[in-house]
Amino acid sequence: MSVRSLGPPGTFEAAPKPPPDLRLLSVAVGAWLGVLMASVFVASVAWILAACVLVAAGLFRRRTALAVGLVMLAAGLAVAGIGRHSRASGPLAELARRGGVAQVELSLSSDPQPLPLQPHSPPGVVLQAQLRLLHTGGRRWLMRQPVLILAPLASWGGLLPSTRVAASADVQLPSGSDIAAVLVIRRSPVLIRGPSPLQRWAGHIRSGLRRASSGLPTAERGLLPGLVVGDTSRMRTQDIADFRASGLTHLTAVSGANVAIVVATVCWLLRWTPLGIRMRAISSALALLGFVVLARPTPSVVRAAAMGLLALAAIGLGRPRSLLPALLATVTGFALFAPTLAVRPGFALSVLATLALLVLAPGWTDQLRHWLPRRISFLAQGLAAPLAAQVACAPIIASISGALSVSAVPANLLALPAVPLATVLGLLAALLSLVSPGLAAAVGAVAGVPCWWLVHVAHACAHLPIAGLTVPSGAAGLVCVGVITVATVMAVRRSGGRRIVALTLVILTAAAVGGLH
Amino acid sequence: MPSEETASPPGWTPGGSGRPEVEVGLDRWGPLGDFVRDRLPPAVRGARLDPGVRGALALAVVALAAAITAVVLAWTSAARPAAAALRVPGVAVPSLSSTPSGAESAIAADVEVDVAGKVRRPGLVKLAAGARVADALAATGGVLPGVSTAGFSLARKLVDGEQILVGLPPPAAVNAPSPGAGPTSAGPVDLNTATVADLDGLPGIGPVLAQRILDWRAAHGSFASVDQLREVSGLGGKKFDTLAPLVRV
Repeated sequence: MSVRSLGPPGTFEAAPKPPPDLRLLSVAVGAWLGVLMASVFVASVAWILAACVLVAAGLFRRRTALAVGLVMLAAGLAVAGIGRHSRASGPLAELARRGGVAQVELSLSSDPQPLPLQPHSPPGVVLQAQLRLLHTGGRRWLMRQPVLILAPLASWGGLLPSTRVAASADVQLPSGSDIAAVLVIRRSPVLIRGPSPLQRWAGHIRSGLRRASSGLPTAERGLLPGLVVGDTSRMRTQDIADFRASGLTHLTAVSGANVAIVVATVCWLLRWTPLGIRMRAISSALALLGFVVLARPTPSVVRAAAMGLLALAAIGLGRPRSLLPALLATVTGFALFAPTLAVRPGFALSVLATLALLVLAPGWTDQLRHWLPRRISFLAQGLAAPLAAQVACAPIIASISGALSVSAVPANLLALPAVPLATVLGLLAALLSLVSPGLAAAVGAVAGVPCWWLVHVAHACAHLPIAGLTVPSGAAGLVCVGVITVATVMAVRRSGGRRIVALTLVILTAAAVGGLH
Repeated sequence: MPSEETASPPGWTPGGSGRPEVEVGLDRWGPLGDFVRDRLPPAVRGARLDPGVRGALALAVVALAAAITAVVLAWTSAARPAAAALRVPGVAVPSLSSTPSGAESAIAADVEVDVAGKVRRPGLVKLAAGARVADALAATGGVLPGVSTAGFSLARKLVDGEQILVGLPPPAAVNAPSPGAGPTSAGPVDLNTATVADLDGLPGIGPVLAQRILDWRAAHGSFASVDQLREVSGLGGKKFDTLAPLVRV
């Protein structure tokens, strides 16, 4: 793995290790739990709960870890409650409850994403925006509220984030509490101000990547921009379904893995330059910043950047335990200062995958080194990391999709070598598109090879006989798959347990194959 | 916000028992604690848990800062009334932007319209206020040969934000397959000049609704777009959809 060559491998085993630092554990758990709880209750209930929890913290003040955790729980409840109250009050929320029409001025905050085609309506897009001006019933209001927009593809599909537009919209009530309203728009936007230069530049490179990949076959053409910058606008519905069923969806979004691959590659390249360590660090940071802009600096990309850097440091420095406090601080920060982000499933997946990398993967690596034949034991770390992340995320993925993707494990292992290759080549093609479209297309064609592999892995694994086990979705699925996962991981540690797990898998496979014929 | 300084126990002493804190914590759980302790991943065995009094105070300050940030954010993003809209007949509302900073605002004297269909260069065009449909068509390079403009008035004054369709059926008509109920009058009724009698003749509109539309017009000056018809009470949903292709502004 190129990632491992970053720093000295962990060879200081003989030195006495300091104890793992979990002083922020109760803090992170408290803050996150508070924010999650507040997403269930209305604001006033959340505030009452926060006050009660603060009193409890006072009662338990002799047990500092618990008391601080409770204070953070109260803070999480209060902060998320305040945000929720702000989105659910005022003229916009009132109009959404009534369901009415308004003239609005918007500042776009995401790229338009195509919606699945509906039989009786023109193709549409969904995008996020900040509502800045609301004009309804003869009154005008200035505000800054997050809204979701459903609009026609033809006139809204090409807009870039930070563009300011005006439109006439149907204001509707949102299903979640992290946005203030859903705006259904049927007309073209009126342009007020174009995108910022930075976003225009990023949009330029993104469209360069789309052009560079346009010579590829359909499936690969859609996949490459998804792998590199999370742009899935050209992926076909059936490919998206295949990637979901085989547990590879995380590849097509910007995740910590993208960030880790990009920064690791830049670091690796810089080793061949005569630059000093400080210049190398600055260059890597600039590369990271550039990538974040290219992938759109939305909160979820910033989260991915933070987690990716943590994971990279964990693997590169060979001392994953020392990064636990950093992960816990990151979780606390996002929960308290970006509560709407912390309640999204993507955040939980990101945190759990990183946690697994820091906590589970080191032990598994050692174990795998024992089991694997000596000649391929160097693969242990490369196998343990994605496996641990996969296992840690399984319960949440199951609760979202209502299926426990058994094929996700082989699919992710098979995908492993192709992902960094496709990401790096795709990024290179995107950057080359600024200089020479011909060269970019050539590199894009090479990047098509790993993409071809990924498409086939996704397709094959999605159609395995035991691709997915149906489990209840929601909280029941979370608990159910969580118990199965923990039990399996514990069982695998003992030789008797391993036999039981292997036998269960064989029986399940046989039953599935038998049911198929 | 309630105060946050609860985590400063006066008689706190460090638990220096020599054993790792994770395992001391698990001692309280009895057999379940033993079970969990034996199965802890090596990476968290013997972990420190207690942040200490100073750490706790620092964290309480962070919690307070988060609460203050949330209040400030909610305060700055809340709705506040904007300056009243200019009531220039024929100029649509959304183009007049007064941003919170007041640094920039779209020029009120301009209209921007979307010309689509059979013209040489379809797209957005910006014109001086008071421009007419003919000016907009000229700005797009003119109508393609063989396309008739008889369906609409070339002399009509432009309204900011509107869409002009040349040689295309109006979009609402595509989605409304109701050939049975044809329009009773020859062309669309202009909402800004219509009388009660004009509106009364439209399908689904009685004298009461017609009067309400006129009341709305009197209260707001004029209709800037057909969509505003939905703000008239009793004209939501289906009724608006059937009415939209039959009226104009």
